[in-house]
Amino acid sequence: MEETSEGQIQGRNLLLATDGKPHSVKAINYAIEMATLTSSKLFVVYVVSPKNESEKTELIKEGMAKLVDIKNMALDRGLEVTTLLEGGSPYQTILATAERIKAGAIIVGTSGKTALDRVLIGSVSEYVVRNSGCTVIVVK
Amino acid sequence: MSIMEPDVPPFYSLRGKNVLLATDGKPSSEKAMWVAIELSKQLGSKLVVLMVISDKLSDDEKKSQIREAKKKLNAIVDQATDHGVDVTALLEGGSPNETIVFAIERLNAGLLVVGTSEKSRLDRVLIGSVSEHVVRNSPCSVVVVK
Repeated sequence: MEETSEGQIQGRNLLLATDGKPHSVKAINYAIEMATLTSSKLFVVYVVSPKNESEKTELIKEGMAKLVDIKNMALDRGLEVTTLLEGGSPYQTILATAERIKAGAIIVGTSGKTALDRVLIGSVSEYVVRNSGCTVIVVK
Repeated sequence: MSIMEPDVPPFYSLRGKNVLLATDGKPSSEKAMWVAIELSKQLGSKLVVLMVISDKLSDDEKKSQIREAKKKLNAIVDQATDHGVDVTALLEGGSPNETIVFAIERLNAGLLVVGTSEKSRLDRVLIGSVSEHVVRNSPCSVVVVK
């Protein structure tokens, strides 16, 4: 058993996946807290999946605004932070981004979905937990 | 809607709560142990290590598993102590899923750390892994270590 100098989470890139909805506030705070404690660089990914062209502009604008809010919160804590606005399926985009930035851990919130929704389609968090190649922190 | 909500928990909400590591002591969960030690240290939290012996086993199997588990718990306690973490080991009997979730409440854990099992894809689809069960049912945040 050997401990790496870098640590499992310590000093590595931390990826916060967020949709900016009210229930994700806790995950945002948690990610900022965790990045501070572990001296990690924080990446924030917001995935836009528009159903049509007319929706697209509005969703992108919304995403940008939320990312700016989060970025400012992180900067206030003295963190090094990068925000990413991506388009596509949330599940795959989150995992692909984690891989691209070589994340030590992904932080996700739990959705406000009902128990029935989760049974039927599974939540983003559960998909990420199941399929991620790196550690996942599910914030409750 | 603004990102800032009135009921945002105070910063460093994690501090002062215990970190709970639920482990089966298998090689695949060694990384989870390191993550738990690392986070406990960063948070200044006490680490509680929990191993659950399934109540479905026969008495003989239980005896040998308890012996094994004690050895593994001691090894983890030694590692944590070496890294300056205040650590307690717990050996409990019951259903792993329920015992872990119950322990979180009892121990005032702010964070649960679990490894991932090496079960096949089919097993996971059929019965779901312990990790997935606790992610779903844990009242506190969960770190699933891969």
